[in-house]
Amino acid sequence: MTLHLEHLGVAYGGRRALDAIDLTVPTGSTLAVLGASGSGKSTLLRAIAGLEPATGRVRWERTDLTGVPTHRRGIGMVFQDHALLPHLDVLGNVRFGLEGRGTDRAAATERAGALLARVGLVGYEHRAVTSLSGGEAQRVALARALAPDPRVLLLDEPYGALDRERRDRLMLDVRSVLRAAGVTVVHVTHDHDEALALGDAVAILHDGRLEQVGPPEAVWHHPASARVARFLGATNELDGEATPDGAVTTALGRFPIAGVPPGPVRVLWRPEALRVDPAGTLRGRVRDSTFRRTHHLVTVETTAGRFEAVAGTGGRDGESIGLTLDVAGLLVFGR
Amino acid sequence: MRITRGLALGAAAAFLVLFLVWPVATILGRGLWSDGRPDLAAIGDTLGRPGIPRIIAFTFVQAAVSTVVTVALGLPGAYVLSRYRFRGRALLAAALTVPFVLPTVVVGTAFLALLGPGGPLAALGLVGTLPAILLAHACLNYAVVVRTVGSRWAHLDHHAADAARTLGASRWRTWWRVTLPALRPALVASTMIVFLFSFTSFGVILILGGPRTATIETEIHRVTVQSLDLRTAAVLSIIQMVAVGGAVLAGAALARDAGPAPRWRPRDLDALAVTGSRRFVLAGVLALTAALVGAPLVVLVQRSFATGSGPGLAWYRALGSIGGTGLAETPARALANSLTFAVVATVIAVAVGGAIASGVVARGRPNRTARLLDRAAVLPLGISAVTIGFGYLITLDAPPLALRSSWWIIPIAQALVAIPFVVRTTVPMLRSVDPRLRDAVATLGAPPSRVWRAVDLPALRSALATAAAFAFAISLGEFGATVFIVRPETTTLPVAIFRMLGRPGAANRGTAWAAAAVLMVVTTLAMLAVDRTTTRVRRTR
Amino acid sequence: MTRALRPLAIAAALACAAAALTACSDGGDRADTVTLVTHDSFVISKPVQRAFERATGLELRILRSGDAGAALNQAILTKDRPLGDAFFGVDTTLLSRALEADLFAPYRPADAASIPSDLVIDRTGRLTSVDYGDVCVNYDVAHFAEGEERALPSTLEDLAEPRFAQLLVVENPATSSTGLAFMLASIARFGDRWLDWWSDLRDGGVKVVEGWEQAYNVEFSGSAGKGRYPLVVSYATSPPAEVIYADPRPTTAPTGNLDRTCFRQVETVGVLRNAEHPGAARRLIDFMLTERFQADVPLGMFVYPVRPGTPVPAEFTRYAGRPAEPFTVAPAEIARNRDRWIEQWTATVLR
Repeated sequence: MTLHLEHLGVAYGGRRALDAIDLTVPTGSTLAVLGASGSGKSTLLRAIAGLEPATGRVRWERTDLTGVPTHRRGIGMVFQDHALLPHLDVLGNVRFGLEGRGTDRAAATERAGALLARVGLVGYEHRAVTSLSGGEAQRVALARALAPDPRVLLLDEPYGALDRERRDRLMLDVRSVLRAAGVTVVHVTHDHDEALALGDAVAILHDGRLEQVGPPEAVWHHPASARVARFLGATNELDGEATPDGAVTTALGRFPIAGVPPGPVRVLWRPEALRVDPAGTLRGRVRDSTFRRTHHLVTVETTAGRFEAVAGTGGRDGESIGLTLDVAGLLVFGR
Repeated sequence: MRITRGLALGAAAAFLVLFLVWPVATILGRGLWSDGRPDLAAIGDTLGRPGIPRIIAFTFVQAAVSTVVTVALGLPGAYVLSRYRFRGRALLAAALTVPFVLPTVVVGTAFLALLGPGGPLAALGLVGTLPAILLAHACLNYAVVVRTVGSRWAHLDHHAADAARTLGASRWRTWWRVTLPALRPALVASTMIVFLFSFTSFGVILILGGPRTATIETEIHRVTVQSLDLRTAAVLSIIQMVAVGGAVLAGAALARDAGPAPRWRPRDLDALAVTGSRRFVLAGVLALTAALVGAPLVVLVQRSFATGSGPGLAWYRALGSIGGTGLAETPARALANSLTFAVVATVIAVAVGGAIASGVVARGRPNRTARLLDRAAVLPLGISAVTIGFGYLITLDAPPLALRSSWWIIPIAQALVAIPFVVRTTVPMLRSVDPRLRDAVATLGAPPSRVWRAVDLPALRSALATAAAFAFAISLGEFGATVFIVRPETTTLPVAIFRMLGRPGAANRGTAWAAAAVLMVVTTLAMLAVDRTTTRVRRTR
Repeated sequence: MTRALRPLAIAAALACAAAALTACSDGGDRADTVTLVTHDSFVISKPVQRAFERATGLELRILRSGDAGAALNQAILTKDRPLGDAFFGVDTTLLSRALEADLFAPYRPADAASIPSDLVIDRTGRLTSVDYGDVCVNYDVAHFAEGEERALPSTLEDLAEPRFAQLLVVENPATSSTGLAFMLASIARFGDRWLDWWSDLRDGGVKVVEGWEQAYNVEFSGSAGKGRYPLVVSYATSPPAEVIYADPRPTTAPTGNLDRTCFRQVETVGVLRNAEHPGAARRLIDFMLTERFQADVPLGMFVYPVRPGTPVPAEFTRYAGRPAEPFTVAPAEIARNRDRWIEQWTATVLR
């Protein structure tokens, strides 16, 4: 059983908010959709849910959901701002989706209680939703969305409003809950850590178009375009020239990289690929330095421009240092 | 859902056409249609009549000044009632609503007793002058501002104001730049309604004004009822409708720039404890309310107990008998009639007004019909009661709509007056519902009807309760239109009061005061009951 | 339909219900009823009404619709499909308008011959006089009893004299039938010079209010309102009303009337043209001239019966001076000049 999106498109006025998206999400797996704000990722979810008039098709295996109204699609959704019903208590919210399907009240209450227990909110049944913290509200929203047993669950920036620590804990909790439920998930986020950690596959969306889709490691190590690379943390970039002998020349030097067609190229790399190293052959001056738990992130000024590098220790402003560039970390794209 | 909403809108439109547009158009046609052609000369003839331009100018001036005075006095009340937490709040809210729902005739006469000869404030010599009219209008419409603005104020997200304060804005600047713009839709709505009420005011002007304070409304009444000069009446009615239409359009334009509605949130989340300087604010508002609303009502109650032989219950006992009242039914029976009609009128007004309101805010493309209805729903306020009453006489006279002698016509006419309120109080509340809640509920498998019930209805409930309470109160106190269509056996209490006031002898007047006092108490209890109900709804959340 | 939609659909349901109910709404359609269209001040006591219903087997319905002018204008508007069968309340000031509108069918009851000719105002055989009353200046007895210098005015001329300045409250003839009657009294008395008299009154500080209720109940010092003005334009029968409705009853009337300031108004009844039950209407009119009904008139409406020899209550003779020679103006002349007179009056007194 697989969720198929075929040429899914949404237009606002003349503008294409979503342009012919083709994706498949196998049952029980999680697709993480990564994109900047305005990239169309929320629109994608709304189109899947049937909340937005769309062109193309949404299929669940052989069942065409395209013309089916939202409430009969069996697709659940967790909203960024939770969208809990303010006049109902926690239990009322979680039970809401069950009551509409004729589940009797006692059974609905029991299932809601079980779901609340699963998301770690035992004893919250009669709390007012307005009194919940952001994390609690998110757990309620998740329990509520799972209650009607949807075939697909859509998560729209579910952790956006949470602080990092809470977010990390909740992320793990949610993943185990979702796995236990065996539900198919489409998870939208602008945070690549979140996307890579949670997605069985990651799709990158830009300007309403699908830039790349694949397993997290593949997308991380082999971005399909400079744009994707930038989005995935390649903050350093430089123009260069690929030569027919399997090398790329740049202002920082000449690097052996095989398989690049000759011609002008753009070279990108993440800070981790540029290490501060007293033995390094490249020279630069420290312009800024920030402690990042496992390393220092250092901005260095070189003859070829400013770059971000990592260091074991912080540097003083203006201090002259050596640098080593890891050729394996270079991402090269034709210009 | 779309089909149902369409049906409801269609029914609402049909109601307005049948009971408003058609009768009014017919009576205007009688005045302005001669020999199969429109009689445009009537306009020039009317405007050229001595006194008419002055009457038009005076109408605008008194309405504008009344509105400014009422809004200025009402804002502090709205603030205190919506933001402060103090004992007796519900009672105060209900009490200040009382004059609004009393027959204008009674409130006007109560002010006359206060300001007129023999009254405690007779020395001011205000009767027959603009200030007396302004005071009575402020008293009558105080509740419109306090309730409409207060209802929005209570649900505002006050974090925006807090943010402004942290950005260095003074209290005043915060109020001016943050709170006021957020209140604007409610403020515009209530300003418009107060203007329309003052513009079309009838009973108050008749009693507190003098021969020199004639307005368009009183002049329409005079030329229709006394002279049967339908030509002049039609021209004046059209001038009045154009003025009212203009005010509605101006209000709509002002409300449109107001930006998105703030997110709906339950009230009382951060009601303020009354300490420090807030005590003075509360005291000030209480004093203002006591002076504006309390004084005339106290005079009314005092007179209801003042029998010829000292204080007593004689006038209240007289409510159970016909005596020399000249009525076909006892005042007690008239009260029963009033209550029955008010219930029916409330149901009609809430159904029609609710249908219009939900049509107006329907998602998707803004519906042209709906917008037109939104505007049209306010028009009954601008059409003089005598025009509607006479219109019914000559239109609803043949089957299947031979309603002019049926009791149904009374709640229908009363509902027409109440519908604008229902629409005006409901639309802002519907607009403030977070649309994502609807999406969320749909993804939980709720069909559109359940979406409406789960998302719109709860948010609507307090607005609808307020609207229903007002509709009930308006119907209970409605006089201008009712007086034209009641029959002896269907007399309402306000009409009975008016009839008793018009008959000689202290007993009739005393019984009228007692009846007015009873009406006042019944209305207050009704408002209290509504406040209780909505409070309970909030508590169970 | 789900429960949620019900509120929205009620409008439709009610509209349908209202339409469905209309079949039985015009109660006057039944053959055994007679509907009298009249003004708010019309009163018939229950025993008298029952007597009529027993004697004729007809049920009497009364439709009151505003003051006399408003009721008549409504009747004129609805004359193609009248609200009832007979109309009561066309008085001297309204007669010509009613006749010009051709509102009434001819009918002359047998007893009409006994009505004194000075009380017959319609000579076309349509409207039958039922009662009459006088609009007079009333005075506050207590005010004029205090001291010698407070002499009582007696004529219209007196009222314009400086010594009686600031004492009189009158109604606006544009909005009040009482005010209109008093204006007509001045026209009957002074002819072409009537406006001079009014400008004297204005200079003397006459108080003008819009209606009788305000003048009598609020501004007049002699009634419950305890106002500032001891003279008011009211009815000749207001003094007995002050006694009859007082509790406890005083032994002398607190007010009196100036019987040389009065304007006489006669009220009539007629059969509406296009009435559904013209026969029943004629029987009602016959009844209104019987002694049973006529004797009911004084205490019900505070006017005098037209039928000679009808007893009136003792209070009427004791407390109400009966004007000997009240002023009158021909109905046709009133109809012709009314609007012009009112505009002239407004220009003189109010501006």
